[in-house]
Amino acid sequence: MWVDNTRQYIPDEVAVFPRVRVQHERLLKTPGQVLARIGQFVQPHDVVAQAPGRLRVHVVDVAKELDVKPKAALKAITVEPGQTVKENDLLAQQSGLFRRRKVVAPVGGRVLQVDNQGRVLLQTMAEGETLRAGLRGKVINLMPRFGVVIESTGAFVQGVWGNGQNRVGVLRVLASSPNGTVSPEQFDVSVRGNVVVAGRTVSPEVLEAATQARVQGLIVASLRPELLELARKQEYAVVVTDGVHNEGMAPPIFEILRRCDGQEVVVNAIFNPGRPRLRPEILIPEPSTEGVPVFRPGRPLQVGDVVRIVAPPLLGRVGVVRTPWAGRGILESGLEVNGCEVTLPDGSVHFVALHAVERLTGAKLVTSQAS
Amino acid sequence: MVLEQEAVEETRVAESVLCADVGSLWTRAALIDQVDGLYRFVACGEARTTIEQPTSNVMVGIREAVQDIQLASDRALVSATDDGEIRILVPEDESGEGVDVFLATTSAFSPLKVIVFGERPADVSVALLAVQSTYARVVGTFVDGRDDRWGDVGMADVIQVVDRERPDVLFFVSTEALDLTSAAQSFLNTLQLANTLYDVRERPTVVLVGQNSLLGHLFPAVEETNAVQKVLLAPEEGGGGLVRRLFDAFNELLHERRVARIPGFGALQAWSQAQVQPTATAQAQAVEWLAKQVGRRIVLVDIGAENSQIVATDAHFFRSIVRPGEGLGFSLPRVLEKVGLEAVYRWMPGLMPERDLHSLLVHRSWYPHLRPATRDALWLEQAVARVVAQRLVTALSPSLPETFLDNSGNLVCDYLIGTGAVIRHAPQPAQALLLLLDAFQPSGVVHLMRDRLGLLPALGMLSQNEPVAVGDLLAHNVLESLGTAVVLSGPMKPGKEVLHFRMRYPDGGTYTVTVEAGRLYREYLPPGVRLELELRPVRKVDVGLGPGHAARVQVTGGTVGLVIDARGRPLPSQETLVEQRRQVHEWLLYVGG
Repeated sequence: MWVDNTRQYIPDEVAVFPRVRVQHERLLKTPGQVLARIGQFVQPHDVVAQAPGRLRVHVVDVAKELDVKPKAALKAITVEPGQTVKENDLLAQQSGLFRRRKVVAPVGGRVLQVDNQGRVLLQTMAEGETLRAGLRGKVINLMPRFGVVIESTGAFVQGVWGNGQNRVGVLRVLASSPNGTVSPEQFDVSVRGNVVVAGRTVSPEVLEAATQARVQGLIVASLRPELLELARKQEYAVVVTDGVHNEGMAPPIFEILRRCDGQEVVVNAIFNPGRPRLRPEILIPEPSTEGVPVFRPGRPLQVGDVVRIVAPPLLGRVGVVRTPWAGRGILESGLEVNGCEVTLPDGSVHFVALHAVERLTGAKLVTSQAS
Repeated sequence: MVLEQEAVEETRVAESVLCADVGSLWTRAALIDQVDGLYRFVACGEARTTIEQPTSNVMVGIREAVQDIQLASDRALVSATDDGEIRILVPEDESGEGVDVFLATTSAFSPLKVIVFGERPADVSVALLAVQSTYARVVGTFVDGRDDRWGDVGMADVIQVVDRERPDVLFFVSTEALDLTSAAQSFLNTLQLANTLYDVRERPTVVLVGQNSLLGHLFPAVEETNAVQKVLLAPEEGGGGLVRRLFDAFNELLHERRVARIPGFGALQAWSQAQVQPTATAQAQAVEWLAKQVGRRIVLVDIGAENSQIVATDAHFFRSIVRPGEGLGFSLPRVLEKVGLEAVYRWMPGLMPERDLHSLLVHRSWYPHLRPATRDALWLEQAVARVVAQRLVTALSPSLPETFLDNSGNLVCDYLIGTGAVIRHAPQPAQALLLLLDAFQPSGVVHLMRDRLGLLPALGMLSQNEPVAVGDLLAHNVLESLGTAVVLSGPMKPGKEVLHFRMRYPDGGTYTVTVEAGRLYREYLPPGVRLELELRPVRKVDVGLGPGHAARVQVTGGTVGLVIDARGRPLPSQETLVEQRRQVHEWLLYVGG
């Protein structure tokens, strides 16, 4: 009998790769039809799978539209349950002294019922789900009825929040450093169609200026909570890489983006608060896959892993794991937790709660102690 | 909690028990073993719940939590086969390795969506009592169906709700009808229309509740199109018995449609000697069992990551309310949307600006598994917990009998038990005590406890399978006694003397204190100590026996001790946010939080 008594911790992780092969699952919410083939190269806006729309009901309140009592509305209704109608087909009409009033079908469908309140229930088909590739890559696997696995190669960075948009553009690093910021004036005609790296944080004016300049995307380290709603409304893609506390951009992330300045970038700003591992993605694609390692998430925390600390007082600091399992320790709040030891770039070593580290998988960082 | 061990039948079958509770964020495991013939808590472990890619199998989290126990107890509980499969070692062998029994509970699933149709308002109420006791979200209630209308709404309105919410379960309750009534016919018509919106395999399950003669008509018609369960009423049946049977029927559905679908369920059930139960059900069972044993009024609150629960029970009454989607995890933004940020900030001590508090809250909703690292983050989490608990109390109060309420509508109970990570992990017991006092604002004398080890779901399971173990564990303080609070009600003009109390120690010594209104007092009274307290309130001030009435009460010590709450009601009491936050900070300091 073998008893495994080693305690391991599988941390949350964010991909920060200068060069990697990433396999993305793209799945429909409900079963449908997979359109892509294995081996097919796809572009971000290519449709890879489709699901039929679900049945919905549309209520047409004839009594209200004709401004009559239900009894009169029932007399005016000209359709019967089971009947199929097209958009703008007549549902009801009432002849008055001077004019004839009509109610037409706002959508096509089947008449489900005419209720005694003078309402017509139309059964319609909602628009189906269209699943796009989101990224550039090659379809390497099919998930029958649900979707595909796409493999992309290139520099790949995940963020912590996105506004749901998916855009392609040329990467343009306007911030001078991970802590640098940009001004609205920098969003002139030269950034049109670009995905702009804006540094530490942005103001509402910058978000507005980006709209005016017709950028394709904005990558920023942090965004104040009150700006999230505004960012969500933008038509360009917004990706927050670090948080909401005015953090600077994690140096490994900034370094990758800086190196790729001027290259084509795909930004898939997906975000689902209930699914923490579904993160916004930034891909700077490259055609060659030769010798490029594959990103395999889910391994336990190890010595040498680059991690970002996601809880105060070291919130946003990036360091290297020195001891992945450092036993119990007490936090400033008084809570006793399991922790690890992290070496920061200045060489200082800190006990950090395990749940407060997030691995920047693929990132490299040199600490003064390590060097 | 003082529980006479003789109260429980003395049969200790299993030598050792391993329990696991798979929550939406955290998985906890605990080992219970016999020591000198009595069950004792040995060790517990905790790990992140693993239901998301890349580790979507609850067994991974359970194994991690069990490994904590193995390390702490130096005892093998699980083994790995050559192909990497983890097996539980059952039964316990002669060398003490393994366990005899494994039991599991879980809340790592989304709630069932339910619409309730009733012949009469009372029918709907009965169904709601049952459904709201567990992980269900009631998305519509419709009553009095006649001519395809339900009360004030027409069929179209009902179908729109079905279209929007896509319920998993439709309840139809008619406790009095003996034949096919217009409501039953309206329900059939509604169901027929609702079904047209679903794929055949996804149609809602129907639960029919009524007399045999009515269901004789309804059941065959529904069975043709939908999965259906019927709950037959015995003549004259009603009240608690019916609620319990509806609850059981619903729990069966919950198990089939949610519990049994969590990733890794097959292995989890294979380990377990009893059916894996929803956590809320097990916790409610634990508290109900306790109330029956001690014959007192008990209120339990659980503030979880995705769900919260409140249970109020005594020997004659039982009520449980589960609020899915109201917790401190991913559901936090929804909670804040409902209550508003200021409701939370009013319970936040300290001077951190609101702008930064907002950032902390958003950050927390992105990283719900984070345990608060700083004092401000801790206080903020506790502030949100107060608001969530208050919402539970508000939901519970209308259904409480008079024995649980004072003349002003404040809660009265003998034991107030808190659980959920925010209460369980509060580093200072006084923080947990004050959280419970602030949220519940009870009156009279109440003994406060917390489930520091997270064992309540296990106690619930054991109360059904090995009740003697529950007795043993409670007799040995498996629930942490925080202490006793004496809460004064009546006019509380700050600074005015409102109570004189005398503590009489077992050795005959006494200690007298004068209490001023507007303040909290904390007296040292360690766990396990019980002594008599003489309370002499001034006129119009009530300590539970009526205004101005003196009382002698037995109080029990705890990790906080004795707390006299003369702050007045309702709380928070200050008008401005700044003033309120200053006062909350003072209260925290008074009790040593």
